[in-house]
Amino acid sequence: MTSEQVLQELHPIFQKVFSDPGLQVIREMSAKDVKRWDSLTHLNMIHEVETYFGVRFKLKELTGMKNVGDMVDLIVSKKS
Amino acid sequence: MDMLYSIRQAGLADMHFVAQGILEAERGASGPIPWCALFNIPEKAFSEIVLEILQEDIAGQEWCLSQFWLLEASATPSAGLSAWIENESGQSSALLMSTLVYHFISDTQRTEAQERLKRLRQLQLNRSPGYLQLESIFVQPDCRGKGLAGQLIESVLQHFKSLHPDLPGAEIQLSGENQAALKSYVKAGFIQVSKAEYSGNFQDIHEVYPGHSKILLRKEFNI
Repeated sequence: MTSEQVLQELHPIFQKVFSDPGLQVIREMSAKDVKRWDSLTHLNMIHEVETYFGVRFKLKELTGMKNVGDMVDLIVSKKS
Repeated sequence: MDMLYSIRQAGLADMHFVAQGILEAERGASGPIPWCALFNIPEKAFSEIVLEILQEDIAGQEWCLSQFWLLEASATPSAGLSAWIENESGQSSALLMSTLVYHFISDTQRTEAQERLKRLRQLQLNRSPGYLQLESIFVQPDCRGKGLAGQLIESVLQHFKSLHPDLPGAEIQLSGENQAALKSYVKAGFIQVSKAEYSGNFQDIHEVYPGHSKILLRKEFNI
């Protein structure tokens, strides 16, 4: 999978978890940019992403993520 | 004769003392630990999760062992607190905490906690990026009433101010119903800057939180 593919496939997940059908996901996006991205929706987003892509993030990977781009790169590396 | 106190950072040998302090701080005055009610886990299992999270030592959130400061009387830890600068690592402490908890609970526990977590959302207060955060403040039961928490807070504030001269201030979050703690923090120079109140049935929120309101206190350093 390429970064672009992963980013595209994150759109419906983010739109569902953050209850925003018009949400456009970009690499630089982080919690401060999304109104409903709080500790509860964060948990759900990680769960949905892991389930959809069939990956499991390590704790250090999760706590080291600064933005969506970091998550995309991790998914790409786990799927390659 | 006055007791001599010293202050130091926590180390590996303090892990169980710190974990016990976290449990006491979480319990507050209400008895049951809110996290246990939230995820429907017994206190012993929660205690083990706290120990595992402390072992990970993830900076930027409240349950990080190396961010704990202890006040000792005669070389015996008597009080402690967690201190960190919010968002210094690029992630908020709330997200780091939820990530850590997510890692140590089962999918079933996470799913079953959804409704209870939604109740807590009403009490969410955002910490200010760049501000020093003080959390999990606890004093050993037999050492209470001696102003130890105040001494520890003041020492930690001085330490961080000398280390980070541009630090704008410090914040503490607590239950709005914890009047005793509120009084001591106000005495230490903190003022209330925001408050979140639960709008539903108080019994619903009391199942998962020791109160029905939450307060954010702040102490500005440069005024």
